[in-house]
Amino acid sequence: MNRNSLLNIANFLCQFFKIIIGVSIIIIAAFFAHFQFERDSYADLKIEEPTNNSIIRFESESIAGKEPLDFQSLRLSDWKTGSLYFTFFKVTMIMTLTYLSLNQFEKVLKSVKDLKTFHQTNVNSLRRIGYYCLLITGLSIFNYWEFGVYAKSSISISLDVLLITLLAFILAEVFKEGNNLLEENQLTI
Amino acid sequence: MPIIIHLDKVLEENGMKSNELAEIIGITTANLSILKTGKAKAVRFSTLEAICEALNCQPGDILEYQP
Repeated sequence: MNRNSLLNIANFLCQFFKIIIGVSIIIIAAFFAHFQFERDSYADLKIEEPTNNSIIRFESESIAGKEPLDFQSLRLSDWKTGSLYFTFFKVTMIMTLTYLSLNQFEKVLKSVKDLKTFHQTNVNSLRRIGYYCLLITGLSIFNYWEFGVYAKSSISISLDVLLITLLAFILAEVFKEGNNLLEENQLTI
Repeated sequence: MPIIIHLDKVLEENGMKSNELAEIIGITTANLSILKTGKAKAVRFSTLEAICEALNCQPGDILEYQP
């Protein structure tokens, strides 16, 4: 498999995931709007206990009324408005930022294909990816769910996204060095 | 950069134009312009040698260090 094939596959995957994310945002927004008006139509839908698998996390759980709570009794229609809005905006923002990151990555791939690898635009793109991932980490820190009598909030740090952030900033520095070398080479008479 | 290029002065003394020099030493006028305006980051010995030969001068006549 040559270099261009790999780049083409990566480019295709970027576009594919961008479409998936775009469609998901539309579906979530439609669900959010429908849920506001037709909450009762979700009365039969049961949900499982919200979980968080991050390594670094702090959770607080509170259950008002009868205890212990049977998670089988948690219904989607009991989702409290505050928690619903919070989760909707959080998820939408994270998905939008992921879309923007993929967009920047696609630009980097395109420039590599055009043999313009070590250009300032790529340094800027990689830095932007780093900032977007940093924002995603920030948005993922606080989680809050409230369904009827059950409320759960947690603070967690997503290490995998932080690792991507670090990698993006390191790559931006590597590309910056490459850009300096390229300019030096071009300005040698 | 504290290295000043006096290529314009030496060209005038020799009654030569930039494009003529560029043609003699085998570089593009755009690159010669980069050199003249002090935007160049490095000069190859071969280029310097060709300039000195074409203008019958020493490297010190073209380059000056100003701290």
